Amino acid sequence: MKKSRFIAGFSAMALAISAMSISAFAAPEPTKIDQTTPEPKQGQAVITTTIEPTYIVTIPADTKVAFNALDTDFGTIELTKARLDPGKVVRVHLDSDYKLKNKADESRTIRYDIVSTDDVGTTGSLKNFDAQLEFEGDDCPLTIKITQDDWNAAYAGEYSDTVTFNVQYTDAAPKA
Amino acid sequence: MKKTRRFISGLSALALAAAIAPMSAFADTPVSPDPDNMPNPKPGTAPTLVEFSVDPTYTVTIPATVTLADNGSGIYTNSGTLTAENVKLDEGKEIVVTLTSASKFNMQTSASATYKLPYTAEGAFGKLTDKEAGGIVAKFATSTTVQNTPVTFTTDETPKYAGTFTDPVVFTIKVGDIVTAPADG
Repeated sequence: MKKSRFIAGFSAMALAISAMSISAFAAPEPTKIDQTTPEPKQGQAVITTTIEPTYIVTIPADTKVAFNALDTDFGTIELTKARLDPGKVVRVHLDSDYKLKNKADESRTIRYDIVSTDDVGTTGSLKNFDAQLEFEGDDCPLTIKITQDDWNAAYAGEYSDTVTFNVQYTDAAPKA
Repeated sequence: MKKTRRFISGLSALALAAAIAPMSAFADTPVSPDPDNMPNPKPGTAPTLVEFSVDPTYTVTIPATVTLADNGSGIYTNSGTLTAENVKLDEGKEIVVTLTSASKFNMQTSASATYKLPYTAEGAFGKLTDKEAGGIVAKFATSTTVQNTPVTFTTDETPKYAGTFTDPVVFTIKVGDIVTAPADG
């Protein structure tokens, strides 16, 4: 999971750098003004700077769920060292089948959900939306939810599941 | 009779001189010795105006682009140089260079962008604090040597967004009277 997080950030920066190289053009010449230049004697200069997008997305570490716990804190997806292009966001999509699998018999499962509220105010299960982060410090706290009925139906044993966090640098979704 | 003859002779000489004078706007002035004091005439004199004009000359070079870079603290800065060469002006005159920005010194990624990255220009007389009017960034006097004045541009804040930010600024050149700052005290 950590590796996928690092590669996503680097790829976005590499894409930005290669796009800049393609658009290179001949530098404009300085303006010379002398006594014969018609009035008004003026010359234009362009002040410019290029700031590359940067960001770091921190994803939760491994988490243990206590038996019969209906809500378990699953950490936070957080955006740090962030400076994005206007209109761009970091979108985090969770890949999971949302089933804890029994290590002795993977056909035996416990269903779970991951819910959150991101910084654009979207609340609910991350099965249904991707977290959208835009500015330094934006975060998305996560909670693992397992219903009492699912606990009651569970067989004894050790269960686990892997959640993959896919990070994408992309256009912000249109606001409703 | 003798005086009349002398007068007529002098008149004729002048007429002859006038007839052979070159056809120009600035005719030569004939100078003749004083005929009334021959054989020891008083030297004849006439003023001749000697004049020439030297037109003011100068060349001021303005950089086309100034690209700011991160100074390591999240602030972006860099300098462009104004150069004056072959400056020869009337006595008491100097070249004054002023700087203005239609955006009031704000860079943007595009004309429609909401976010504006403010910046400040600083020339030979300090930072330009009136961003609407701009101000003087350099003065050049008559000199045979090349004169250089750097103008430094620095962002006022850490940029909120990534992107390529630009702003066109205008340098205006005028020749004016030398202004002497009042003495302190």
